[in-house]
Amino acid sequence: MNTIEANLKRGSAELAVLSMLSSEPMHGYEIARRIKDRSGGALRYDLASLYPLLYRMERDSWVRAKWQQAENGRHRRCYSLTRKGRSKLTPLRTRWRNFFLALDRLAGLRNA
Amino acid sequence: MPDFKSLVRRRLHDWHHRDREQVVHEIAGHPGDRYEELLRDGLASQKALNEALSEVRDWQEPARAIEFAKRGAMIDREKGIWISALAALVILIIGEILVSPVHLGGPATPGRWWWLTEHAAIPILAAALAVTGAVSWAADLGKRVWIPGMMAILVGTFGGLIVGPILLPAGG
Repeated sequence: MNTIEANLKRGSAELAVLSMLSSEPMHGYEIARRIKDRSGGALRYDLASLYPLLYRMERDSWVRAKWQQAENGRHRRCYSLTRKGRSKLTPLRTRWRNFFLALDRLAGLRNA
Repeated sequence: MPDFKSLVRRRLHDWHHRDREQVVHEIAGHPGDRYEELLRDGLASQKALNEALSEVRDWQEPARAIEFAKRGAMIDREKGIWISALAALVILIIGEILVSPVHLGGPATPGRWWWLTEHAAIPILAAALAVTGAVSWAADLGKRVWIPGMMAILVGTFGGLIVGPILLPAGG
């Protein structure tokens, strides 16, 4: 992965995770799987990048985690958005939209 | 089904953190889910296991990153304790001014605060520490078990109201 992609991936991780959790609570693997599926494989977060981010978001009270028993009997830690996390989502979306609009005006992304 | 908890624990054997077991329990589910997905896709068990675990090349990397994320939580807790201590100090100073007119330059005369003397500083300190300590503890507890912030303060204050009167006679 080149530097631009790596930096974009790192920078967009908060937005990606918060967006996934805005629909429903889910555990780490489910978050990673949905991000990969919905981005058509362009964004992938593995264990090493996802859990530190989730712990940081939990520390900052953006998400809360609760142990739950899954259908297969295994215990999973499910994450859900807090009010604080939800309030972060709109400004994050706006910032990223503005960023890509600016980049589009600058570099003509739509013509690429 | 392989024991992913043991496999992850083994890979993190030299990572020492007080939340280690909880972290191991949680992140072991990740390769576990991947393994099941690969089996469903038709991979042989051993191949699926290898691929599920190969997602992380260096297990020290997530350990370090998780440690860093969790260290921030400790700093927050320390900050909470310091703020509580400062609040206790402010309450003590206000209490001292209220109960000890002599400190303001005048004689200690009975008045509105006749039931308090300058010796009341110790029980006031004890009560202030009890209240602020309980609030701090409850706020921290609130972070762990996710009770709402205001509820944490109410629980803490209630705890302080119970602990404070116990300490008051001891301090006086």
